[in-house]
Amino acid sequence: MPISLSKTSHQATLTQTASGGAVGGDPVEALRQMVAQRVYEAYCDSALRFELIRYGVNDLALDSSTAGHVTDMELDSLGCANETKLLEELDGLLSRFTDNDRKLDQKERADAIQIVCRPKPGYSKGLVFDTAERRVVEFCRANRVKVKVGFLRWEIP
Amino acid sequence: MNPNDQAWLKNRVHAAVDDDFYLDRDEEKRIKEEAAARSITVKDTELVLRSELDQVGAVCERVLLDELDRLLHQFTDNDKRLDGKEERDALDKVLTPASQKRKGLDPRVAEEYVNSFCKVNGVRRDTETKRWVVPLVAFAVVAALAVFGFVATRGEKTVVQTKVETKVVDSAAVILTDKDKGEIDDQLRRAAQFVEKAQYTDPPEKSAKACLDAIRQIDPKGQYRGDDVRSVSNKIVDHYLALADKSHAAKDVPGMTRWLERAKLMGAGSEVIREKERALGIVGTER
Repeated sequence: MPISLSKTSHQATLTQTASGGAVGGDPVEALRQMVAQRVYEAYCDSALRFELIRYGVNDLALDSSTAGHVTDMELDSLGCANETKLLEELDGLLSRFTDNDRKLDQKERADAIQIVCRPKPGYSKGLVFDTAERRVVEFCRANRVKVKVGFLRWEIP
Repeated sequence: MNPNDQAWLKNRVHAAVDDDFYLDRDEEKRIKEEAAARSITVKDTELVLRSELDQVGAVCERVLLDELDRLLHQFTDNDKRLDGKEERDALDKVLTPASQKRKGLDPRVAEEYVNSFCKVNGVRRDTETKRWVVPLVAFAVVAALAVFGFVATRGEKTVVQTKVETKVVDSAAVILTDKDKGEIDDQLRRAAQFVEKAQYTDPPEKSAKACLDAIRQIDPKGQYRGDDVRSVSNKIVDHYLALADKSHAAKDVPGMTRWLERAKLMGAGSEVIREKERALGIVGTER
């Protein structure tokens, strides 16, 4: 079986699995199996999800939205944390907390981070804490949201 | 899933959400039951549901309620209390349509869920407890105003006005009792008797001057019969000045000086005495 050396080993794995004929020609089922094989430690980061969707689009001829839905559903059924979805949820929470006053107080910050970092029922993991922290800072900088610094000072982080 | 089943399922989902872009729990349950009856797997059904909901921008009530439940747990698990801001944040998060969605959670469903959540989890809901506080406070204010108005209307006859009067009080003034006044009357009568006897200053204990001095000690400001006292004193002074004139006419300078000195002892008519001294040349001779 010819393997292109220009591909990364990860892409090579995807290609090998897809051409292995284990899924009987059903692209949706093939993508589900790929998700089950590729995700480990019950956590799917954004890069891996993107690769899985790209695999479904490029190699299985699925449209991008279907590939995304299949991937997300399979992650849900496996009880794996979906980093992309959790980050979207975090953005939504931060928007809700800061839309009015452009300020994010300590309780709001803690609530938002805990909601996404705490594993949901049926899941063993939530969003990685460092990732959540970074996202909060990025959100504040992008939306000019101030956080409390010191006793009475509010600043954009 | 064969193409016929897939087409049927898509059509079924569209029929449920095209009217209101909202898939409630009953609709979702019926669709899944019908799909299961057609031997469509749960995963396939779920996939078509998600795809079609995203395509038309419709929302799934069950998903939004799950999100609301997570928010409520986050806000209340520690302190078993849902304050106004937390409730507002949680409700706004699910009621406001998300991006690329046409609707949010039905407010009535959200309210019922929050209510049942608080009851099931023993959570104290501030907005619920404050619901009767506002009417109570309003009632208290109205009652207070009514009481105030009642008191104001009834209290017109008994209005107490504080009137500030400025009164100049002489610190040297004394309060004379009836006994003091009787003493003054008695001393004045005796002074008149001494004047008739021409005992103005001598002997010192039994003279008009002694009586007048006693009166001045009792009533220094002359509040009681002051004019009578001054009249007696001036009468004595006039008599002494007349005697001084006689001494002056007799060229009796020591006598003249003695009468004037005695006139001064009476403590009255000082200006008249000084004029007399000038007239008689005593002041000039002293200087």
